[in-house]
Amino acid sequence: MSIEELFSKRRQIRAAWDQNKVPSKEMIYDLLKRTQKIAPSKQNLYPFKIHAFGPNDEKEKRIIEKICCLFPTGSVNAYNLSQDELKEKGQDNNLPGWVLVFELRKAEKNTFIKDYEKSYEEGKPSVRYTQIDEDRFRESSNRTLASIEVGMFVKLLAGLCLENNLSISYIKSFPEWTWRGQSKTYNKNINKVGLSWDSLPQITEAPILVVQIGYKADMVDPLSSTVEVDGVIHTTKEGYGLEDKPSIDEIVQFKD
Amino acid sequence: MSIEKIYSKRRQIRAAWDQEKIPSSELIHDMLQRTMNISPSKQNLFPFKIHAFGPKSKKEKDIIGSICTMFDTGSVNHWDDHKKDGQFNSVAGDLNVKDYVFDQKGNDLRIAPWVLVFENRLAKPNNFIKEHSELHNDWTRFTQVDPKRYRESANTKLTCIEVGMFIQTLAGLCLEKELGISYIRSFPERQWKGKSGVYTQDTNKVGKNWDELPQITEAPLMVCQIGYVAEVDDYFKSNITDPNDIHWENKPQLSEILNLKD
Repeated sequence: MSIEELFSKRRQIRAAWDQNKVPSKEMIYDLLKRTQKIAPSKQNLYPFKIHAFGPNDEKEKRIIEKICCLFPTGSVNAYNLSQDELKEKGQDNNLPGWVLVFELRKAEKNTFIKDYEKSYEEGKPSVRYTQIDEDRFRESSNRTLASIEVGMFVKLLAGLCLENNLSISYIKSFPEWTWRGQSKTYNKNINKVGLSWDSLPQITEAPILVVQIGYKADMVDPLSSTVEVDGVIHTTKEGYGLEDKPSIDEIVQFKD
Repeated sequence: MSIEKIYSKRRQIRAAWDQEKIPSSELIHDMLQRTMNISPSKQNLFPFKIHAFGPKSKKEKDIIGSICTMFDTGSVNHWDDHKKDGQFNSVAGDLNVKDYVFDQKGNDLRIAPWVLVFENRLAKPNNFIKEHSELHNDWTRFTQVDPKRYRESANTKLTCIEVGMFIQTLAGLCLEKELGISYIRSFPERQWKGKSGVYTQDTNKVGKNWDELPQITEAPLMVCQIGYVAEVDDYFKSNITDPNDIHWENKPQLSEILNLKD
């Protein structure tokens, strides 16, 4: 299957996760291992960490759901409702088999960095590679680098998931942690129900992205976005307009 | 071909861009269009812009090359070494860059046929944004379309994730067509200072920043190079395979970056 055919299959899943058929731990580990083999990273340092919560981690996954309830209006996953309320609305298939939280990480020096320091920075503290710098890895410049690399990693993971008929969804609506260099602390936002990532003690650095993986149940996702696929508009919610993409000319400036 | 096989083919190209066989403007445009068709973006807003500089934009590509000469040491492309008649110091001794970067016709193999600069962009509200904002009487939620907040850190980080996803999709389409694609993130940053409403920016080792390229008006996020790969030894390539050679860029063990809890 071509790249185009494969990635065209992906849909954002919100409340249509198969609650009975769940990918095994071995499968998720294998997918992540294969992703890391082909994912690029500057100097191969991978300045991020992945916390993978599986079928036995319902407590943690429910906490993550609630943290991802960012805004007072329109949180499509309705994570602030109880399971009974969701069941009544037909939206209770909202828990995926696996939830991955990507967070920032201070990378360890690899052989390249050690050789580089020996060649150019003998006896001096390393200043060039923010990914390994205790004092700077949380700063904006390294955060943007890590965010790009997480995007690349997740896209490849998505490809491998789709090849295995798994669905994958992305969540970025959660309270942010912003580094304050002067006070050397994170400024932590809270969401509409007063939660921040402090509710999940495993998370100690700035979260970058939440990824959900599982099999899609054989049902229409009651909370799916309104999107156009091959000229046909798919919608399930009244009052939620088409998420139409800009034209290519709006985002690409060509200079031959 | 499987995802794994396609993406395993990718190598970072530094001084091995084919100067004879050049991807056409139509090909690059088509690949960007197809990438956009299958790339995800929050609310489908795509809060970034791509400046694509092609074969005729040598001046601009030279400028970008000189901007991406970030550090005093170890800048592998050695863009500014012409000032020293090509001389540079390396762990292998004193070398001349000219011995490694020209093809038989004297063309510079470091110049990629296409250079793409991704920068931040104020997205326009689509139908969803308009209807959602009206329905909830809330016009402040979506930072991607907010002129006062799209340059802030939270939106820039979101944009970076989406640029990473977009580029990885584009890479797959390039590799399917036997095109090379490389990524550059070593350049002076622009950072938004919300209180004063201005970008602050660094300069690189030769005193340059993105002001040299007037097309770039927002924060640059990533530079991508695309072209066919020449059948030459890329002297400046990274060492990603040989533990016995110098500067081996070994990856961390998966256990170092993964906490699998079940």
